[in-house]
Order: sequence, then structure tokens, then C-alpha cells
Amino acid sequence: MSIDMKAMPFAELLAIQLIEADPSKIVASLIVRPDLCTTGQSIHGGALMAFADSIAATGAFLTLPEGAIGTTTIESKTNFLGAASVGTELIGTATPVKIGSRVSVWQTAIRKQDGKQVALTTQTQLVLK
Amino acid sequence: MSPFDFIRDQINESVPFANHCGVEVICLNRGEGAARLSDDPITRNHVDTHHAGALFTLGEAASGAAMAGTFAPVLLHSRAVVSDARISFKRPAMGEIHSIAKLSEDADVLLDKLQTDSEVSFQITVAIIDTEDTVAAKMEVDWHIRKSAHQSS
Repeated sequence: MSIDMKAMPFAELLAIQLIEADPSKIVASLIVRPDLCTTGQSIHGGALMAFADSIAATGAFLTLPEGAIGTTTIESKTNFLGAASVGTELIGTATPVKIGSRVSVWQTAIRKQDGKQVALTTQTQLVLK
Repeated sequence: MSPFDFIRDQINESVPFANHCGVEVICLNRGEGAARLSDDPITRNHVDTHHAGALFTLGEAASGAAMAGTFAPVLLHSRAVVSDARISFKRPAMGEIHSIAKLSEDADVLLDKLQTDSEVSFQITVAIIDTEDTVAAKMEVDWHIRKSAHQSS
């Protein structure tokens, strides 16, 4: 199954770059631009959540059971753990917690290049049949 | 122009990502805030409904407005951050969407706590509502406010 982030206009708006897409791990990068920030030139929480959501949704898509037609997020929780300023490259890594026939649960860690964690998102994806 | 209208305009001018997404704070008051997400193809996902991240940004904007309305008297001398946020999606969201945020605790109690402890944590709940007046998503945002260093002694 191939993945095209352009299928999600909002992910394209963020300019998310997919690095690795394996059913057991999805890795993507995002450069913090001024238009992704809140006050103080630091990345907005909504941009972080959208980044995490797009990566994990890609994983959910790659692991859909046979006969499924797609996936959608039904629940998401994000812990905001640190700031990231303009110019920072963020790496998001999504891994499955559980892949079921009705839902899959994913956890996405977002880190800076120095390894410091910026956010942790746990989300549930509904399997659309 | 009321102080609340002034704060609303400041928020709308100073949060680039909200502007980028087409999110606008409509109004705010003590303990309440509301925002709007325009109907624009750029905020959509692969099934042509609003992306989860765009709805999250809409909800966060309303919660930020409610926070700013509540702490308006001390806003310039405080630092507010979101520590945690949860959102559950009830139905696909299409068209122009609104969010309405409410403080979950008494505003006076929180303001007093900030004065005595120099910091306070609290939750704001948000309803995300579609054009049919149906709740498309619900959100809880945990805020932490700390007095700026030069104001805390």
C-alpha cells in the first residue's frame, strides 16, 4: 500500500515529510516555520497534534484489515512536554500499541534532533468498513 | 472597545498557526471563549472532512480565549501554557465549525490561587459544533499559569 501525504491537504499545509512507512513504525519530519507557531515563535500545540495525527493515521492506514476502506481518528490525547522554536527540525515516530479489527491504537513521540521530547500523542483510529 | 474585545484582537493577530488554519477567536469573556474555523479545503483530510488537527486547533483557540478572558487582569504578568489536551471525535465535521469553551472551575477561586501560590492549574472544556448545531467533537484542555518572575514575590 503506498502512502501519499498529498491525499491529506492539511498534512500538506504543514509540509510533513514522510521518512519511513512500515506497519510497525512510521517516521516523519516537520520543520518549525513561523506560520506553524504560537506567540513567541514556538510551535503551536495544534501543529504538534496535527503532525502526530497525520503520522499515526498513516500507520493505521497501512495496517487496515482486509475489507476495510479507510480509517479516521476517534480519540486523541497529547502531552505537551517542551517547546520547539522556528528552524527546529522535529522527528515524529508513531508505533502501534494495538492493531485490532475495529480500532487501532497508536502512540507518537515527537522529538527534536537532540533527542529532547516535545510531545507525546496517543490516539485511537476507527477502522472504516 | 471593551478590554475583552482588545484581548480577542490581540490573540487573532499574534497566533500565526491559527491564522494559517483559518481559525478566528470570535469572542471571549470571564470563563468563556468561542472560535470559528472557516470552510476551506486546506484544512481537510483524506475523506474531505476537517482534519483532526484543524479541529484540535479550533478547540485550543476557544480554550485559550476562555483562559485569557478569565485571567485578563493579570495576563501581562503571567505565563500560560497547555500541558495536556484530549479530544474525542463524535462525527465527521464539514463546513464552517464553531467551538465554545467554558472554564470548569470558579474564576475567582483560580485568580485567588494564582495570587497566593503564584501558579495555578485548571481545565477548560470545549464543544466543537457543526452547522447543524450538532457536537462534532469534545475537548478538555489542561492549562498551567505561572506568575512572571518579577511579579511573583
